[in-house]
Amino acid sequence: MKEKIRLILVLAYFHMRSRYRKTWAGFIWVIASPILTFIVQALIFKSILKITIQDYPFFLLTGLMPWFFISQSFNSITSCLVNSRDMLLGVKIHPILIVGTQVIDQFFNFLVAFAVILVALFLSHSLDLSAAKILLILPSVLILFLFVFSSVSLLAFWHAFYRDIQFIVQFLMNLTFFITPIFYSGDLIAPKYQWIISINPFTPFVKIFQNSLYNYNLNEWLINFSKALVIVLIVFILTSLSYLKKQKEFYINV
Amino acid sequence: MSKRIIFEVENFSVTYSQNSYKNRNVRDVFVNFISAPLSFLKKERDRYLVLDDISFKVYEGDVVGILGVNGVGKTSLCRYLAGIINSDEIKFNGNNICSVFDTNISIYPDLTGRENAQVLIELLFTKCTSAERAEILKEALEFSEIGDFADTPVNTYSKGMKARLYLSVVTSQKADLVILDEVFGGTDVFFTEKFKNRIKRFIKDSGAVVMVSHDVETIKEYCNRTIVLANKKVKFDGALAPGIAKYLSMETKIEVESKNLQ
Repeated sequence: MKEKIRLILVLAYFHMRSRYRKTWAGFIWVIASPILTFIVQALIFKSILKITIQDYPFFLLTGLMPWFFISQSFNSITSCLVNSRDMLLGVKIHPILIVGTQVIDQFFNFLVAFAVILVALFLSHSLDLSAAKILLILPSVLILFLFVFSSVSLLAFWHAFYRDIQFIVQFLMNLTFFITPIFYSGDLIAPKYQWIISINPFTPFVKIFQNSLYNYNLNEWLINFSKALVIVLIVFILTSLSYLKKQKEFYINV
Repeated sequence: MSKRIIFEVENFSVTYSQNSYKNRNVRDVFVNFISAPLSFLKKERDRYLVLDDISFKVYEGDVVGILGVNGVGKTSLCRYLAGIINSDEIKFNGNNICSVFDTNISIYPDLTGRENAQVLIELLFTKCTSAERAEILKEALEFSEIGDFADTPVNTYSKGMKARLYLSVVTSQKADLVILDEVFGGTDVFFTEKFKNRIKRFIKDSGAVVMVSHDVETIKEYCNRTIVLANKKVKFDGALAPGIAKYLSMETKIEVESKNLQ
């Protein structure tokens, strides 16, 4: 186990080195996209569409950053096992390691972009960041990481069998953005459409961030965290079953 | 005195599901389902058999040449032997396996040869200490003779240079089992000579070797045992000369058959 963790960190290091072209400028290039998305959406929804949510940039940040991590990972990592075909067939390496290195990369981007905007808002808005809020944000980040890691592992595995999964994922992620309470809050939706948000598996992962950082609410956080935990467990079981049952077929199809 | 068994293959089969050829993407699944729902729902049981229930043992000191026509399952078998794909029917009795399949491998094309070698060493020799890894890296780079190119990105390398680097790393530590799938070729004559000597020493130090090559001369040069695969089965398993004879007679038979078809 210790060897595995060491290996995944070393691979993540080299993967990031390769992606950032070994420079800080390369890294800034990578985190520029979540930050720009944030700025544009904050301006559009606040000034043009006149969404009346208090501290709107802060609200948007708590939803948009986890969403960005989820969608970027889903979109870019789904094809990673097929793209690493030569490596998978040439060297003894568990596919999970390849997925893991890329998730760590995306996770690192997410943490930095999140921190950068948080600090900027903190300085300009004098937001209060109490210890209680920070205490809830840590498990939220952890469960989000586990969710992304297990679902991307599942998608990347099945992408070897059905090669258009990547495009379907991209298409669905674009749609899902609008039915997840990211740039609007859930209570703006008419009661008869509330079910759309509640069956959306991404909702709890966004809500735990809103419940902890934006409008601190321990009860709601606990409910959403439990939902998130159940979703992670289901995805984890599906992923494990796929790898165990279809391992041989995977290597033929990849 | 009986020799140590390095690995044992028992009742091993490789099958492909035909389903995955019919449905290569979700769109195919959708189209097939809509156009013929009944036959789609009928569970496909057709499986294409590549290797059917084969068994053999490899002992310490064996240098086994696997012969067979294209598509007979040689490389698939070797991937299972190398542990790249797990199988309960193959029991490996040792610590480490060294396998070489594609010599044209580059893990991170944007990174330099040295960095790629480092990654490869991390992947292959997980049990080594960092001092040992540094030693392996130094020796492999020296042996590969790629010189200053070690610090240029791998995507600028030629096939031969990639092969030099890769082969130098992979064969730097002795192993209980060595699997070599078409390793010769691609590199220039100077390196091939040098590499052949290294392989010979490597083979001498190793527990057992399994080698795949279409070049009968290569098999003759290195192996002391042959396994001939044909029609999903082990057709011959034994000494070098009769194995090669069997393989060559088989090939001519296929030629005759195809001539008859014309």
